Amino acid sequence: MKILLTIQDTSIAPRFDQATEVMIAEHDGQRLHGEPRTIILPHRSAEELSDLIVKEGVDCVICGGIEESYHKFFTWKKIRVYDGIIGSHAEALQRFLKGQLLSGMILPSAQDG
Amino acid sequence: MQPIRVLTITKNEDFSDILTDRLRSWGFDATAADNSHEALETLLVRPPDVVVLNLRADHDDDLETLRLLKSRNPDIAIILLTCKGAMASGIRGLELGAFDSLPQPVELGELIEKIHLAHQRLVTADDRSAAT
Repeated sequence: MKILLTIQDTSIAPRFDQATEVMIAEHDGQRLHGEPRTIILPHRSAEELSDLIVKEGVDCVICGGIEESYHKFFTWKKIRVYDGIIGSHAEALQRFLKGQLLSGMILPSAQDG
Repeated sequence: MQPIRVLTITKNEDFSDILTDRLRSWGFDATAADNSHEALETLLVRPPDVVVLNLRADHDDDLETLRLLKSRNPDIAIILLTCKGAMASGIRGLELGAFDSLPQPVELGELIEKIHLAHQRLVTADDRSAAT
């Protein structure tokens, strides 16, 4: 299974449509398989990012704020979305793998910065 | 050992900032140029080992930058990042002597691998010419 996190430096990017970098990781629901890949996007574009998500066969997205239309699109595509996440992408990924991530979560790492 | 010097030419401030920042975090001595004029200045003042050039669709001036850099320094290794719709320009770029091309959006790991390969080729060429 593939998960995609929209990132900005070490954090989850605050807005899906403004993300310029993503991390894609393969996992079995509990642990990662191999090293996550980092992809730098040429433009800030929710549409291009959505295309990438579909093309890559991602089945779960972890992001900050996302427009309702994109959220609906992913739901329609059976792609699970954890949105409104605030905090480090490493912590978000770890919580996801432990089954402890919920949409709208403000992670403890958000207080560190 | 000196870090590999990388010059990025992207004409896109956001992309340029992130790219150079990530390359620096991986230990490269990365600088950015917004246009061919800046790139040529850098070539004189602080010659890079490898250039990463963003090729946009329907922008012949990007290929012109490649031509200029190659005319000033034929040995320079240039890696092209080709945007959607810029495949023909990418092929032309390879014909003009670019080291390789990668499609956008660019995967950082792949780019880093290409930079190391391009640098390795330069080092090997230098060793050969020193031996003869």
